Amino acid sequence: MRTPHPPHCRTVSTLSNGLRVVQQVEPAVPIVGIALYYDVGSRNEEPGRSGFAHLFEHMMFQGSAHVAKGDHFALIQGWGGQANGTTSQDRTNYYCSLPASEVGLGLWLEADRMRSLLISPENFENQRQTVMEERRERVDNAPYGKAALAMQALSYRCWAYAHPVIGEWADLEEARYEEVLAFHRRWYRPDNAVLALAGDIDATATLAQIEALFGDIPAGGPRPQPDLFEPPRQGSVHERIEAPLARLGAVSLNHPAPDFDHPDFPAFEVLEALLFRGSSSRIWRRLVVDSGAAVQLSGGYECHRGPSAFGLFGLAPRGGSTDRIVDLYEAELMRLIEEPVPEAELQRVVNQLRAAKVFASENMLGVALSLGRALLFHDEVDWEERQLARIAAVTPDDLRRVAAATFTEAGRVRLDVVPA
Amino acid sequence: MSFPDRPPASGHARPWSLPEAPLRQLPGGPAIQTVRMGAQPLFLAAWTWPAARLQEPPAPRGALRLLTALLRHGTDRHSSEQIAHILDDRGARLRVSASTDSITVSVAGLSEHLPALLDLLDEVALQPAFAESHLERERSAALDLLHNEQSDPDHLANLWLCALVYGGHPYGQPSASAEGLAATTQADLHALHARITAPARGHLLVVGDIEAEPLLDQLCARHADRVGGGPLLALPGLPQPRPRRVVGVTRPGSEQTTIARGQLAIPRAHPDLHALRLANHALGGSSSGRLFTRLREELGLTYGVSSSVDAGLVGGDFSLSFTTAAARTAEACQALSASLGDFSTRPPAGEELERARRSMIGGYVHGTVGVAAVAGLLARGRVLGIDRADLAERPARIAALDDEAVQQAAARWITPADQSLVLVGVAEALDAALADEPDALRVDAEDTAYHRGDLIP
Repeated sequence: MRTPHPPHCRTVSTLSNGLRVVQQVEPAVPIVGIALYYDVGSRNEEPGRSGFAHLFEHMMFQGSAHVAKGDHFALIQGWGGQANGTTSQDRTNYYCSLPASEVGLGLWLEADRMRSLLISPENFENQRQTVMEERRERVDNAPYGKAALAMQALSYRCWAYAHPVIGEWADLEEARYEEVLAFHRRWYRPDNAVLALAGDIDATATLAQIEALFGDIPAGGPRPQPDLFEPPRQGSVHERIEAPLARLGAVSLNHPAPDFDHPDFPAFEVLEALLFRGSSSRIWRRLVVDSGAAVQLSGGYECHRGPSAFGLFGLAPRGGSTDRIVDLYEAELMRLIEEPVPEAELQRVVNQLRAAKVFASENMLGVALSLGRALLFHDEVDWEERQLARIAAVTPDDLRRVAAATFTEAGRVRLDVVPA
Repeated sequence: MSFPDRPPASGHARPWSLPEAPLRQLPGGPAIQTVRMGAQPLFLAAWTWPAARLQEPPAPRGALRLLTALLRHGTDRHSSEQIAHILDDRGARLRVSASTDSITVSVAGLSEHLPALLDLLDEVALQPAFAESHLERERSAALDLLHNEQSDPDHLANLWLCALVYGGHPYGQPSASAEGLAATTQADLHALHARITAPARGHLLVVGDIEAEPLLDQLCARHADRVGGGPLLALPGLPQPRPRRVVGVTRPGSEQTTIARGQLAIPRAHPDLHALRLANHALGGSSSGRLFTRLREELGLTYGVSSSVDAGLVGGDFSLSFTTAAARTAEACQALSASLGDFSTRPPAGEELERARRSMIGGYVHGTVGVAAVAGLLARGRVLGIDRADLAERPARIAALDDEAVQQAAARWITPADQSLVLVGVAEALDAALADEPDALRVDAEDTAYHRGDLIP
């Protein structure tokens, strides 16, 4: 198989202020993807301030010293590009794709708001309202939205991962304008960021441009680390939640799983693919195609830089039962423990993951996002390629050991969603 | 060194071009097209036929939805499970998508698997088994999902708006009803499949890391005997303009109201199309458009709002939708009306239109990067009667649109007084927002009268 990303196409640099930069040159694609990751997410929030990292992400589009409110999108879209930002528990990112000739514009926009966020009480109030609408749309008015938050709260006792990224209502209402600049000063520093670029760029010239635009932004001071201690689950949890907007019964079920850096991380990726990836995957075939026990399902490895989980969410048919979904799912988990996974099935997983990597390599923004994530989370730009090798080395015995240790009764959290 | 107060100058821009796409029309048979794009070792191959749902018998509908779901579940030679293994063993992806105007069956994979996956694509697209056992399973799942869709406010708003804008025309009809799903037989599926996939209307496209001409020769030889069906379709007539109507759908427990507005516009071949799309781009086609700026960034009424121009084979529409807090529904409706009124009296011009023009051209060029993007563009173009030359000239055509042409298209096809309105939310919110709409039809979320084309004269 041809390798889509020869490592020699990548360069990694660190500016004197601590900003880490990774570039991947792809001369065949006339686009550049730019991703700027900040090492701050909802896990860094404090109780009573849930949702602030995400609310702050909105404020980053409200203007900076040389960019008026609304102009960030307008300037990118003026070249037919795309721009956005996202917040998770583990990080916040900002990204855009542009014609490769406009790489300077994308860098200038990011540098301007890293050094000089410009906000007003009016903009803050406007974005608070916008985020409240986002929460209504994604959580409160969505048939299974509140159930998803309830499952998150049940799954983690560590507050950093138990509370919603979008924030609790009371905390959104209490968020204060004065906190915005302090948040920027603390977290939005070059030594707390990773900048990733991919596309038809000249790496040397682009690095010089980055140095000129970002190089004099001062590094930040020490930043507090979140408390990630998750006490072991001591017994299974089974709860029910009523969902007045839902029509079909549903169930979420998970077990605790290790974080990104755990040596068993590759084995969990294999388990996810084996159970959930593709139309031949075990759970899809057994629960949807063969038995009709679920009419829709999703699942896999919800992995973080801290406590993580492995599980599924399934919609039961009318007249069906969530017990049946759980019974069949758990039978498949038991099969993992009792029977070695055939080598051919393992090879299928490796083939799927390799092909997915090739498909993704056409999208420069996707490549930049992957590189940024690899550098921020793993401090290793070739992490994805090495992960593929680690996945290929997973053995049937590894899977049995990991499954037996993970899929226990004591570790199970289950939430049944009952339509009104 | 001080920070520059404006962005650095642009670098060297690479001229844009659409890849060469040789096409051969087989006598009495399909058109076959191959495109070499060798940057990555992958390909996408697709069979596309025009007018999928336009060829489904009138209500009750449901056969096309089942056909779409069942194609991957068995052929004359392979079972559902065998197909799944052929795909997953190679990391390949099979997709079936159907709309009123077209159906596409595609497979994407690594180029080393091209022969095996082309064989599978032909089988899945051309020789489906529609086995009874899978039909019953998919029917049951489709009925459950149809039931579940009634809980989605955006889906409800769209169903009602389509019914108001298009009435009984096929573009106004939902893709399935419970009655249609229940009544569909295996024979119906085979008959519909034969009608839709008539050889003479088919288009087989392969894009990617291939040798275009040798593959074209090979595919033409392979499909030389596939003839029949005639190249022309009997299409329904143009949808007729309908009077503005308002519907309020009560959805108890809603925290938000979904607001949707729309009107009949123009089909794909209409000369105003690009000018109308450019006008829409300035209005609500992007997050720097007027609607997003006013309703979200200034008033904080919504998380997102967008408008679109949908242009199909025989008809098209202009529509927009967004959600807002239940308590702000009336305020949001008024703000929307004011924005649309302002757009009519102060249409985009000058710098605003120039930005939209550059954005639309750039977005089009951006959207042609990659194997899947080029394949999608060519396949859609073929269905709608647009050839490669037309697609390649589109940026120049958009650039040539002057302000007056855009403003005239907006004045003709974005006319607030003609736009029907649908609100989905709690009764109190609808009461407040519809106080000045005495003729509004009020229904509840269970009501499926949108299936009846004659419901609203």
